[in-house]
Amino acid sequence: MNDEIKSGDYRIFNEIWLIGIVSSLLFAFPATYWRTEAPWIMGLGVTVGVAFTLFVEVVRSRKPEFLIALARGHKTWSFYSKIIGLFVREAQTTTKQMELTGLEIITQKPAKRVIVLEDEEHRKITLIDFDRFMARVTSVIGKDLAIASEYALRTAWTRLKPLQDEYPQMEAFFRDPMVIEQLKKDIAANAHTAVAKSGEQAVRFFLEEFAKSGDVARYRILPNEVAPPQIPKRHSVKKA
Amino acid sequence: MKLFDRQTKTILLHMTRNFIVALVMLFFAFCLDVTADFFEQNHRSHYLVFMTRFAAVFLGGADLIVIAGSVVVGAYRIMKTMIVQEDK
Repeated sequence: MNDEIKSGDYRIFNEIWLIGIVSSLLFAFPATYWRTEAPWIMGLGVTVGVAFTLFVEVVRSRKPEFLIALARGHKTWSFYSKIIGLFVREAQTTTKQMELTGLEIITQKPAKRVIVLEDEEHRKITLIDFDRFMARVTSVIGKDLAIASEYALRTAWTRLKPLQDEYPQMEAFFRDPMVIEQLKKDIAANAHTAVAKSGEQAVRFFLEEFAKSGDVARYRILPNEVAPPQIPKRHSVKKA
Repeated sequence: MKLFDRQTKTILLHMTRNFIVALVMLFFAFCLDVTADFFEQNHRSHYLVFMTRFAAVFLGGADLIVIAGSVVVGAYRIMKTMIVQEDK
């Protein structure tokens, strides 16, 4: 199982350069200084470097890694000063009866372009279609989900390994590539559904929340060539 | 017929990449060593000779570690892969 999981980790082949440089730096000075008296010093340096590389490889292959690895390279949006939003269009449905299913046809197509709005101070607000955004999120998350599933299986195997003598068939289960692939696919499919549903729920929550509070900043969509009229910056929605 | 599986191929690819880069740098280390000998024979300053030879030893040592380490790690990984495949 460990070997299955670790198959995608080839960091050591890059890290070996760092190990080589550090080891060589440590041993190069004495090796140069006592070049004739002790020519074996650099051989010792090479041996130490290779031994350390192998040590790192062996330790890493035995050590279970957890989901924290997924956070590597994550950047937040705190550096971004522009406004980017999502927009949701209400579905236009046809009232015509269908021949077979009797269901309503949703004629709404996701907008392929992003919409750029401009406020009274010519600040641009970029809007992305919510459905396209969620479709993109679910497709991007697939790779991370596969890694997360593998980590979860690896962790489960590490925890259940002491019971191996009691249940000898357990190892075969964890080593079976069909089982692993099926579990990964199931987790990915369920997670996709969960993400899509959660996104929709979150948007509805915010819409309801803002409608209740009435604290809404209103912007008027303006064509680029028309000079913007003077609009007060903030309006509050009057409750009926 | 598949000679190697995907995992072995990736390991060999990483090893080959490290080999090629390290061999090129090893050639530079050899050139530095020859230069150090040249300086020594021409009675240049002891400091210059020492620093040139230090650079050659440093570069050569690092490259040897990379080459030997890649072989050891690659062999270890391929061996593990073969054991897993036998178990299956």
